[in-house]
Amino acid sequence: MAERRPQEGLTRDADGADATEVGRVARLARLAPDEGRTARLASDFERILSAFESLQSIDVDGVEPLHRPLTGDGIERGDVACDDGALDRDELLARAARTREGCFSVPRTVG
Amino acid sequence: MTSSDARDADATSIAESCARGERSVESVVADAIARAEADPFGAMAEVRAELALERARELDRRRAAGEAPGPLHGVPFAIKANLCARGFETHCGSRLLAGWRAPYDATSVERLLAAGAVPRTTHMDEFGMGSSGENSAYEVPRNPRDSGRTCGGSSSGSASAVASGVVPFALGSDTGGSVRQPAAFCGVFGLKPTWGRVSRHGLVAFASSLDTVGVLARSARDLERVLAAASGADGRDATATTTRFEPRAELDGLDGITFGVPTFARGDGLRGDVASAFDAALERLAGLGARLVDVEIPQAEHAVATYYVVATAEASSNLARFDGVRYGERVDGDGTLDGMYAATRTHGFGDEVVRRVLLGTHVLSSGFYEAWFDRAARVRRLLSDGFDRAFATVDAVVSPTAPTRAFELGSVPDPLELYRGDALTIPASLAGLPAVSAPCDVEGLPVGLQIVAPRGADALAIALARAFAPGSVPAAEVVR
Amino acid sequence: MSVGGWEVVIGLEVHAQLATGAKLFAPEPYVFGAEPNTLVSVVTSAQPGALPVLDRRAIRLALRVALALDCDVADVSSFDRKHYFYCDLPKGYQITQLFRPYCSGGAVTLADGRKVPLVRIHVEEDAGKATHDRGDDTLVDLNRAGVPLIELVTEPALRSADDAVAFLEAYREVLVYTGASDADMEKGNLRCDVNVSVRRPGEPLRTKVELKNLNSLRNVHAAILHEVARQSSAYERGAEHEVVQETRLYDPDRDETRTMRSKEDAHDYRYMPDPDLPPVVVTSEELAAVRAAMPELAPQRRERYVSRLGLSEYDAGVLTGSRETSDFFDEVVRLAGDGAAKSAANWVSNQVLGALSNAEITASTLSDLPFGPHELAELLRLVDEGTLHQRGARDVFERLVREGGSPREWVEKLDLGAVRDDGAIEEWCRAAIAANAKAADAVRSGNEKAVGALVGAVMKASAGKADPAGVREALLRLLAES
Repeated sequence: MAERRPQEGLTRDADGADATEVGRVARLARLAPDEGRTARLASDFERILSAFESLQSIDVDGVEPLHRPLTGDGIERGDVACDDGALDRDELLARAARTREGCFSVPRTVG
Repeated sequence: MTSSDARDADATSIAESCARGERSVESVVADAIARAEADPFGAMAEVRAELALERARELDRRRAAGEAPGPLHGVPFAIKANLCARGFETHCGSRLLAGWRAPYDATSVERLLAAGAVPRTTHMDEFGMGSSGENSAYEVPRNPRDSGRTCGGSSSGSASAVASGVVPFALGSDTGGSVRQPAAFCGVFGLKPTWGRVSRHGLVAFASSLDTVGVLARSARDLERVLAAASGADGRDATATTTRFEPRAELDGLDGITFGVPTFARGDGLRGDVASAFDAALERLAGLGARLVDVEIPQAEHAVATYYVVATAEASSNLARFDGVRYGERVDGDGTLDGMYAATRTHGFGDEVVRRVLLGTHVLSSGFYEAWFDRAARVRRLLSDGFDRAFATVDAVVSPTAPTRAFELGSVPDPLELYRGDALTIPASLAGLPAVSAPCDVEGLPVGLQIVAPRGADALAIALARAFAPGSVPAAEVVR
Repeated sequence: MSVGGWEVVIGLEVHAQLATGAKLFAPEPYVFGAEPNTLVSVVTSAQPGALPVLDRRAIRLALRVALALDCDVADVSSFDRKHYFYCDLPKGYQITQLFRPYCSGGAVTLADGRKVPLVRIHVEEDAGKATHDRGDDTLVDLNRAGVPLIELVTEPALRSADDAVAFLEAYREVLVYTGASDADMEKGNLRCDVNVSVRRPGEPLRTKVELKNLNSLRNVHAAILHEVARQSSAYERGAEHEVVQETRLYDPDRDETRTMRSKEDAHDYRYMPDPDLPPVVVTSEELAAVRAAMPELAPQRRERYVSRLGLSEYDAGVLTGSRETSDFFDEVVRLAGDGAAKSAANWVSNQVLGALSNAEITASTLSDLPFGPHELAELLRLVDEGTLHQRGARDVFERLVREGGSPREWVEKLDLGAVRDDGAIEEWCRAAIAANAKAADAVRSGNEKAVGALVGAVMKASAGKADPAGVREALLRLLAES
């Protein structure tokens, strides 16, 4: 991964339609806020990131990242298939917006 | 017990009087239903009176048949709407999940039901993202101590319901202070357990490495009773601790206890009225025999930045599943799959959720990961290690729970200012430590004292809170 | 492979489904071909609030592969989330191992002894299945979602389409013999992506192209040949711009590859450590236990067949062609004794495997046959103790293949037991000599070969129950006497 400075790119011209970092991450996150909402969010976005800029000054060399403050070793399963959390198909599909032939139906993605 | 006594009674006394047969569960639950339906503060999401009465009668029958009553026998309680409970709408405060009824029970809910408690649900900030209850597609709960003010968030409805006496206790979730801060704002007790103490199975995830299932109650002893029932290893959450929760004997004063007062307890942004309430609380601790020393928790001043990088990153990941395919309201958009995703999510998520998903996506994306997410995870380690070092010399760390008292609804529109309001609760969240907010004895709007204990020492945090604030706080006067 | 002076550079990414009883992080089983969406728990369908819990057996199976390939096993590995949106990915991320895979290094040894070095192997979960050819929409079945996979990544060390196929055959053998995977490409539990580039010998690497949708060895081979031709021709025409870093789909019907996505719209997967899953710790004790429980692999079996059982290299190769065959053979030898190994090898590689390819026999795998190693061992014993001659044994075998049952009972039922009554045999011999005077005379005048006709006549008279060697002996004796 190419290292980029945290602030760099916030307003860069992207290759795509949106010229802002907000536009880029919105596409990645499958969000499509309208213009007004985008402008509002973009200004918050920049303000919040600048407020957090102080993180960049901390010396973290050699520090192991903490991703989960575990107390013990954690839990694993044996290889025993069981019906814990099982859903029968009707119950599984009942909550979906669209289904067909026992499947979830979504807009066609190829062809 | 009269109805108004029942409003003030804590869970322990209700469970005990029902177990002894002094009151039927049905009458307790019927009263609680009446209070929930009359709730003038907008805390309740779903009451499901018929379901509750049916369950109450069943509990009465089982006791009559000689079955030993559970530790929460007959106790009505509220569940924050981000904990799955079969039969209830687990909407998480989000439009996207309107009408979504969980096909399973959260482990914590399942265990409280097994202990004899009787459920209903409460409103909240969308997906737990907020400090005021206002980030919601549903009703915004109001503070029973002053109905023009926020009850805090994101467990806003749970705090409101406990403070107004609708229920003696409630489950909330606490990621960066979402149980402790509303508890402080509403003048009740709030417990954020050690990360992993209570299974997260069935808690709709906001930021997995920070999320905990917490408890709001009107007495410290209730926190302990509920935690004992809800905690424990769970084969459905790989991070749930296998160490059993052992309640502690009630402390007789605080002789021999050392509290550390960290620099951040007096940081920028602390209001004068909160600072003086905190000073009074420290005096009270000293009066009970405790020793007070200053401690330094390195990087605590960076806790808010660290937290918001980690939490938004995890949120952007956890909320990716809300895509309109398997559940949730779908919006078709331009008719393509990606168009459907974007339309569904943009329509379904409120502004604060969108803001955090965008930030979280940014800090994880190619080229920014090292500078933001990875760096924050390392600062988090420094902070956590700092706590461990402090606990070598002190038993617990104390601070105000929040830098302000409950503010007026609508008065803090700036997200950054709201984030900064979490500065006091966030350090314990990042380190995964247990913390209790206990109500201080003050005039006017409540102030909370936060007690943070070492990892796994939930019982100590509760016992210290109980020594500081023994007994039960009364429910707020309902002014109609 | 050098095509018109171009050197071919190939690296493979191979996904194999682990043969666990449950999914990687969820408790339900996976059954190929089950009705859609009938094997989907709250975890697999990513219901809000549901959490992953690791099935430890997946790690143990993966460790077998790592040990078999001499990889470096990590003491601590961990799971990460790889984010992208697609309808077959319920959580919006796949749980995989990017930052700390469970093993790295190692090599796959090809049949000719060459070693292909590996970059790494990691554990991850499979996605569901999207179907696009049943209407105007796309249909999603989540049964396969969450099934455990290991992904192996080779160094770009392969130099031809033949090498790539040889690699997959060798790796498949390891997967099957370790019991880690069924490795059946047709069922999709072995899948392969190929990275191909070409260069002039001695040059640094040129642009590589990723080929997907290769669901058989034949497609792997054909797609590589096609892609090599496309790239080298582009370079020769000076059309370098036609070779860009991209993913191309192979279309077996048209034998061509076409662009699926180019680097410009490559995903930004936003990998992050999965906070829901504790790190995976592998102790030296666990590794030793996995090593101790490791099934005997194909090369070791071949070695044993040749050196201990005295089989030919060729037979050893045929018998280890599939683990099922080798297991079958081993069981027959276990029951019938090492002394029967050669005849067991003959029976298994000729009759038994032959039966499977016989169009009249419905069984297509050994486990479909109505008899097992136990019956074959019994048949060998009957021959060995002289109760049955080869011809009778073949008759019994025909019955076993079609109807099963006990060989000993078939011998009785069909009255196939060998005749050992010397008086009866002598009588048949005299009758044969009398009836075939010409042949008898020929033998008497020194043409021993002519006795064959007489033996045939006796065998016919005895309905095949006489021992042909004994008959021959008796005939020669009688002819010499008279």
